[in-house]
Amino acid sequence: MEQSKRKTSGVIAIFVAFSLALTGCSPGSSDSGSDTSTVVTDPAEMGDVTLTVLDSFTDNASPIGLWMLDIVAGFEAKYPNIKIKRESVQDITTNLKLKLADEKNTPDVVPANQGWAGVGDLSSNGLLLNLDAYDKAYGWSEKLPTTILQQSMASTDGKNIGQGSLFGVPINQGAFVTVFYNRAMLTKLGLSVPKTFAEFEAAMAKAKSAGQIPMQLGTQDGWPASATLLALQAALDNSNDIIDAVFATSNVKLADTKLEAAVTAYKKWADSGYFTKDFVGVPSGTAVQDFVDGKGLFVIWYSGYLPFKDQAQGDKFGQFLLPRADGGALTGVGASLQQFSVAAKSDAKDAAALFLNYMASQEAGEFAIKYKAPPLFGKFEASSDSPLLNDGVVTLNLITSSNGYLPYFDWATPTMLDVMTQQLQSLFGGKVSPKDVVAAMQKDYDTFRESKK
Amino acid sequence: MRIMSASPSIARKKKKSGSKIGFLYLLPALIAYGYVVIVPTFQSLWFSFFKWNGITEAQWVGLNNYIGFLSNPLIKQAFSHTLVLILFYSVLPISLGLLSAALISKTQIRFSGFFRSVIFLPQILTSVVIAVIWRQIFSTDGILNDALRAVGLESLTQPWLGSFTFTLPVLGLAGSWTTMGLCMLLFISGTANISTELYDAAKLDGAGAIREFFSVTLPGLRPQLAVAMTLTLIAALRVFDLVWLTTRGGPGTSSITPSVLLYSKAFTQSDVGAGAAIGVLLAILALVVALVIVRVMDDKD
Repeated sequence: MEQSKRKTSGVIAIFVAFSLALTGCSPGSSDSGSDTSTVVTDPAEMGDVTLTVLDSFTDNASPIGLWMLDIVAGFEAKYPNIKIKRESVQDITTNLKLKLADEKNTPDVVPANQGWAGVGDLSSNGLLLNLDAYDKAYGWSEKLPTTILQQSMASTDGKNIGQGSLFGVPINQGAFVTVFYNRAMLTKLGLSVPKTFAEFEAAMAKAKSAGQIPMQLGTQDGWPASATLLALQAALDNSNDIIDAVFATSNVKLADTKLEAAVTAYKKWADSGYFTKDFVGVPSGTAVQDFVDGKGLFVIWYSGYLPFKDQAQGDKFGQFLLPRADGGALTGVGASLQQFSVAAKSDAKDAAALFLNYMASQEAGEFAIKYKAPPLFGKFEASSDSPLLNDGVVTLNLITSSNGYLPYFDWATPTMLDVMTQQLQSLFGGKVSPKDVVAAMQKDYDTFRESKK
Repeated sequence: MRIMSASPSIARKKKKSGSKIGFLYLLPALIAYGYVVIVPTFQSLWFSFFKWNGITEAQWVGLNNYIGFLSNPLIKQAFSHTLVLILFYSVLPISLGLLSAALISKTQIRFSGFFRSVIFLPQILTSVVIAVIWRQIFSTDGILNDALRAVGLESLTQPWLGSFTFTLPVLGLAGSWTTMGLCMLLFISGTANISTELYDAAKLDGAGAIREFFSVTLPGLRPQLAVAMTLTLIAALRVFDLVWLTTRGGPGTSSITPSVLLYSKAFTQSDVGAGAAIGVLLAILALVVALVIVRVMDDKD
C-alpha cells in the first residue's frame, strides 16, 4: 500500500515536471522584431519570391472569396516574379497568434483584425512589422482617408491603438454599420428615404401605425444589440468624441459625450414598439432573415452581411446612413472589411508590402465592384446594375469625402463589447437606466486605461 | 523491505520485470492521456498564476487571479447559476429517473425498449443539436408559445430566452431533458439486477409500493446512483454549449455560467490567466464532487 502510494506520487511528479518543462518558464515569448532598414518598392529588385498569405476568404462562392481569387490572379499577372501561396485561417482572434509564433512556417501576410485583440496586442509583442517606412514609400497616408488608416495604427509601447505607427493596410472593400430598407414597403407607405433624423423617426412611427414592423431587431444572442447603438452614436454624437474615446487620444469622459442620448433614443424606440415584438427573445439571425423575407421596414446591420439568396433579392432593398441629428456631414461607423499586416518574421517583407499596396489599390476596388461589394477608396461611380451596390458606393463616397469614418466603439477595450451587450439587455429588461449604461461603460473604460498606464 | 533487500534478487527481479512489462503495455495510452489531458491540466494551472494576453510575455501574479475572483460579482453570479443548474441537471433527472425505475420494475410496459431508446436519445445527440431544438421550442413564435396561445393562455407567452426571470430555468430544463435518459437507463438496468427475492420478501413482510422503494429499490441502486450523481453534477458544472449557442450568458448576465465566463475571458478578452484560473476552480470542484460521492457511497457498504 505504502509503496503503491509512493509510486503514484512519483508518476504524478514526473508528469508535473514533464508538463512544466513543456510549458517553459513563463508563457509567452518576448521577441524583438520589426526593423526595416531598407525599403524596396521596385518589384524587379525583389527577385523570385513566394509569399505565404493567410486569409479567411475561403468561401469561393462569396463576393469576398471571388475578390481574393481575382486579387491573387491580378497580382501574379502583374508581378510574375512573385508567387502567392494562400493558407486559410479561421477564427482569426484565436488562431493568428499561434500562426505568427510558429517558428518553422511563418506566414508573410496576415489578416490581423483592427482593435486590441488584433493590431494592438500583436504589434506590441513585435509579431507584426512596423510599416512606417513602407507608408512613406507608397504614400498610403496621403492616398487613404486618415480615419481609416488610423484604425491600423498602434503605439510601439503597446499602450494605445489608433495612433503611433502603421501596422497594417486596409483592403479596398468597406464594411459599415448602415440602415437597410425595404424599397417596396417604403413606397407603399408613401415615404421616401429619410433625409433627417426626425424624418427617420417619423417613418418608423408611420410604419408602426400602418401595422408594419418599423425595425427588425433581435438581441437574444447578445452582441448584435450593439449595431443599433453604434448607428445612433454616429448620428447623435460628436465624431471627435467617439474617436478620442476609442483611441484614447484625449481624456474624454463618456458622460460628457452624447452616448447617454444615444442610449436613451434606443430605449425610446424600444418603448415605442418600433422593434420586432419580443425582440429580447429573438436571435439576431432570425430578425435579419425575417427582414430579407420582406418583414419589416428597416434594419440596422453591417453592410454586406444580410443573408440575400442572390443579387435580385438584394436589390429589393436599399441602404442609407442614419442621418445626423444636427444635420451635419454624415459620419459612419465603418472600417475596411479586413486589414492585412506583414509578419515581423517574414523573409519577404518588400513583396509583402507590395501585396498590401495592391489590395488597397484602385484595381482592387474594381474587383469589389465586379462582385457587387462597395470599395472603400478611390473614385467610383454609382452606376452599376445593382441599386443596392450603388447605395453603398454613394454612402462610402459621402463618408470618404468628409473623412468621417468612426471606429467601432467596442474597440476601446477588450471587454467593451460584452459590457455594452449586457448593459443594453439590462436596459431593455428595465433593470438599469441609460445613465447606468454610460456609467458601466465608463467603469470598464477606466479599468482598462488604468491597466495600460 | 528488509527481507527483500537481504534475499537474493531473483524473485525481486522477476517481480520487477513483470511490472515493467505491465507499464510498457500501458505506455501508449499513458503517453496519449498524458499529452492531451495531464499536460494541459498542469499547463492551465501554471497559466492561472500569470497575467497573460496570449501573446506578450506573461507577468507572474501569483494567486492574484484567484483573489480577484473574491471581489468579482460576475464570478459569484456564475457559480450561483451553477447551483440552479444542479437542480435541473442532477436533482430533477435523478428523481424522475428513480420514479420511472420504480414504476417500470413493478409493471411490464409494452414497447418499453422503444420508450427507453426515445428517452435515452438526447444523451447521444450532440449539444449543438440540443441547443437548436430548444432554441426552437422556446423562441418567441416557437412550439411552447404556440401551444399556450392554442389553449387560450396567450397572457402566459414569453420571450423565454430573453427574459431575466425565465432564461436560466428554461435552459436548465433543456439540461434535464438531456441527462434524464442516462439516469433512467442506469436505474432501470440497476433494478433489473436487484434480486427478485428481496421484493418477494418485502411483499411477505407487508411492504407497500413506497416502503418497497425505500427499503429495496433505493439501497439496491446505490452504485448506479453514485454514477448518475457524478456524471450529472459534473455536467451541471461545465454547462457551456447550450448557453453559448442560445443566449451567450444573457440577457444581461442572467444565464452566465463559469464555463461561458472562462471562454470569454480567455478567448474574447485575451485574459488567459483568469480564464485558466476559472478552469482550475471548475476542475477542483469536479474533483471534490467525485471524491465526496465516492466516499459517501463507499461508506454505506
